[in-house]
Amino acid sequence: MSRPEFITREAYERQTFEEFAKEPSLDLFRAIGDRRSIRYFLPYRPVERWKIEMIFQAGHRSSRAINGSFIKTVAVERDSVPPETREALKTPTNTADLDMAPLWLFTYANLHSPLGGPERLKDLYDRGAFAPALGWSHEFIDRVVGETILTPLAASEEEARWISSVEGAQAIANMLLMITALDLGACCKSFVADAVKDAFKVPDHYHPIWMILVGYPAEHPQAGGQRPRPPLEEDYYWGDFDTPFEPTDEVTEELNRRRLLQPTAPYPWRDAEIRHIARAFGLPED
Amino acid sequence: MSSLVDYETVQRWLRSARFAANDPRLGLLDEFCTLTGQNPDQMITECLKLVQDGQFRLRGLTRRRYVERIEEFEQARGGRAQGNVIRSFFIHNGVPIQPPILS
Repeated sequence: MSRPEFITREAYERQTFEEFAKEPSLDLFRAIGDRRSIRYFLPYRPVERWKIEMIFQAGHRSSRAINGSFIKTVAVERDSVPPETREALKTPTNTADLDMAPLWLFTYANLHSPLGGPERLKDLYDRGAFAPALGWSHEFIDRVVGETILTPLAASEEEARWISSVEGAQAIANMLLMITALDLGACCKSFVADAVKDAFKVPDHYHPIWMILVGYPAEHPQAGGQRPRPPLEEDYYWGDFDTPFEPTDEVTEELNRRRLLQPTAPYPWRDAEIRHIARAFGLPED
Repeated sequence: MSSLVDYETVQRWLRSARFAANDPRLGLLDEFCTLTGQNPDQMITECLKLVQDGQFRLRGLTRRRYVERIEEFEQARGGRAQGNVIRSFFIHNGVPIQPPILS
């Protein structure tokens, strides 16, 4: 197992927008490789507003069918939430991490997102995204797409929930990578949606997805190593599902070099790290 | 009353947390049992409802009650470390209980 890389002091000091703007950004390979679910945060260190804006912009650029607004997200600072609401949000497995993370992103799937689809599709057509070359026309959008594809999506709550959640998750994936690139950590958690519905003025047609805890990691950002995955060929195939997609040594080596692939958890000191953090926060060590 | 280590939930705790059978933490669990008037197995059975085939559902209100009893115990017994011993017993028996973080 190779020696883990420690985050640099410079990275932690890169806290102002001006300083950040001078730095080269983390490349995509590394951001994908470094992303973890971070479960221990520095509770006293807030997330800068400019970083939240970058996270939202990353989510906003995700792939989205019919150019719809499938995800709705509200950023809430932990300390702005009244104690009784904080308590009501807690589930058996998210007590301490809620207390630690200074920023909470509540994400919802907008079940009304298919509405207005034809207008947005025509706008995309006019901007050259769609063209007659692939069978598109205003007439097709007006007379066929709306009735055949979009209306059923909007009419059935089950279908609307499916597409809104799937497309919303694409935005979440982008946000998680941006969070990693900004030296922050995040963890997606379920939450008691009713506890915040009134406080955050959540419309009835917003379906809860994840509450994303965000903050500066109190654990090493690599959180003890990359999580294990089944062999690539168990999940990815070539041509049909009888033919596994076999990884090659050449590509694996290059992805290791670019740190998309990293040593698998646990690093040798992980147990000691967790005990140390638990002791600092007064959490059970054993 | 049986010896504490005879209880199935205590054996599970010792095994899972890798504690010795004569670990001094058992004394704290014994004190907590006296406080609640329940033996270790009863406390866990109260928190977990058997649904089917060895699968359990957490009883939220009961768990909440034990969260509060542990906090009382912690205050009476002098500190977080003592409360965390009891939390550890619940956690290793499948009942997640976390204290608020110390800030």
